[in-house]
Amino acid sequence: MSCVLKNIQFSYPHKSADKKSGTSKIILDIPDFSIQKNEKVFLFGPSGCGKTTFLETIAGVLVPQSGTLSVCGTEIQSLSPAKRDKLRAEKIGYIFQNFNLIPYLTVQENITLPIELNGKNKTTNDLNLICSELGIDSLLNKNVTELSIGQQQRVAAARALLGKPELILADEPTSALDFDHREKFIQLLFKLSNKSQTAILFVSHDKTLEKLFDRSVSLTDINRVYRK
Amino acid sequence: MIYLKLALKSLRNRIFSSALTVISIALSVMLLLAVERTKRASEEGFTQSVSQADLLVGARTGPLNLILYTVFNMGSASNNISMQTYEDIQKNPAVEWTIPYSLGDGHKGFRVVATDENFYQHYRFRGDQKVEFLSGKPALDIWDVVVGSEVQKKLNYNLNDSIVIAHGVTRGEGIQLHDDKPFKISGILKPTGTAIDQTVYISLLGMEAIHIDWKNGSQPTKENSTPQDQMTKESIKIGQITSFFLRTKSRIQTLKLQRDINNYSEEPLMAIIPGATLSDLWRGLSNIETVLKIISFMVMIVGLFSMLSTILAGLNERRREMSILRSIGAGPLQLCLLLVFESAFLTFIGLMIGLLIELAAFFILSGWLESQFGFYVTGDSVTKTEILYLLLVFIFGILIGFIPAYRASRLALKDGLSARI
Repeated sequence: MSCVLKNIQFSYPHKSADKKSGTSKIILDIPDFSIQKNEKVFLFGPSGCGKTTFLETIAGVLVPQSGTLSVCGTEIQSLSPAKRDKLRAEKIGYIFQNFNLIPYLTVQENITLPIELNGKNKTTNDLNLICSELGIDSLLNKNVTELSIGQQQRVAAARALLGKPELILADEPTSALDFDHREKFIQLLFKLSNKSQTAILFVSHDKTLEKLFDRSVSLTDINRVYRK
Repeated sequence: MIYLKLALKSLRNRIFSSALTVISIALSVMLLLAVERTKRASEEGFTQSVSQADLLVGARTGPLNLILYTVFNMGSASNNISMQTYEDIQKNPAVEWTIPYSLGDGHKGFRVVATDENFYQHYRFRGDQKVEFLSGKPALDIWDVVVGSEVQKKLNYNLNDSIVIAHGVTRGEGIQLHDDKPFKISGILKPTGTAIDQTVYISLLGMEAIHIDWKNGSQPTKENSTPQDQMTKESIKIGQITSFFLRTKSRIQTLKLQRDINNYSEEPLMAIIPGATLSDLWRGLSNIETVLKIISFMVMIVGLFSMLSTILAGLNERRREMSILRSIGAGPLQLCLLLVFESAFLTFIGLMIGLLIELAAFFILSGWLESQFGFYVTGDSVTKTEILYLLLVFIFGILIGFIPAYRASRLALKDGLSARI
């Protein structure tokens, strides 16, 4: 199991909560959700239904008020913030909507940065393999600012994949691409993640991509907040 | 080392603002050091207007007055010392050498000092600097005169020019002139950056010779004055001098000798230690340096705060960068260190550049400062005080780094993950 959620409830702390009522509004109320090893899950839902909050909860950035959440076999709530950081850095890869590359580093430096930050050894073989599969092996010494959107996205994917995480969380990573490129990109992502048995939780509001995944989940279906 | 690489690459990416920060620190440091150096050089130049002389002896007066009229050509002597007394003290076994000064006359606004060969041989300033000649030789004959470099420049004198000494210390042209007995320029001194430059030197014999036949301070008439050509070294007897410098054979004897001279029974005398009095005098005059120092410290503080604001402003722009780093595995502590390193690094570079500019500027400009302002850059180029200042600035620079560092470590991880700007 890559991740298991049971009876998770989350609401933002009072400060940023609904100011009119003065009480915290529950955003997530999920009785049961899990992702298998190497499973590719498509999560969709309309804007504002809590997709990003959901991802951040799984990543351990937000801590749910109740319920249990285990990621890669570790119960995340009981960990100290520092240990959660470590777990996230080691086990979870993240692909962002706007890629979050560091502008002053080269392509290669961007890709290997998480590994170096976590003190792991560089694996040149893996790097070359992933980059040639993604078609960015000729760009390694370029500055990321010189790349096209599609290339930047592949760099971001390479960065997430290189650490061989157990789970990749992807938050609308294809929204900047046209349809053809979206499908190609997702297929490429699957091909590479299968090698390292990495599960993917792919969040999008674009239901046309649904057919590519093992399973498709609507957040409004699993979130009890929307069942009333 | 990945953090070092990140910090350096990030700084290079923001080269313009980093450079501005470094420049503002460098300039403030340079100013601070230059003020300190100037202060030190002028203090040394001042307090070492005369060095190696252990005692300065004159008629009984205030110590400052004695220093002012003997060393700085300011004010006037209250009384003289008889030659007999001078010779008596000279014979004291504790005395190594003496330099007699006879004052009271002037030349076109400059003071005339009558002295003897000991002046050219023993007078020292700024440690071990001797009086040196640009051309010519000491004024040892009766009608010889040696001029200081500024006198020569201002009055445009050449060797062997004939000049006339005025009676009394005057500003500008004298009223009573010793025009019956002109002197001939035998030597021109090199610039020293001390009062020597503004002085005209004659021999004790010359001083005595132009005053022969004077009665109660009035000039002799043409008929009863001795003609210049009839005077010889042998015919002149020196009656009195104004003051003299004295060097003891061993420094230990200085205080005893000073007491003996102060208690000299034949004549009321006063002996002072010139170095100590000069330091006292300097302390009274050095307010301006304190003010300069305060100003340069303020400049330094402004420089450091401009660094703080540059880094803080940069941090706002770099919120995303910090959050990305955070989201891919850099801990809050590491980010904190990253930013502290950054400001420490900028401060260090600024310090080094500032120091370098200061050293280079003084090195390049020292000749010009000497010739234009008589300002001598002496002593060590970097002293403990300066190292202390540099260290203080560096520590302050590191401390300042903790402010953005603290703010960065508080930035929510959420900023990076949810990819909102």
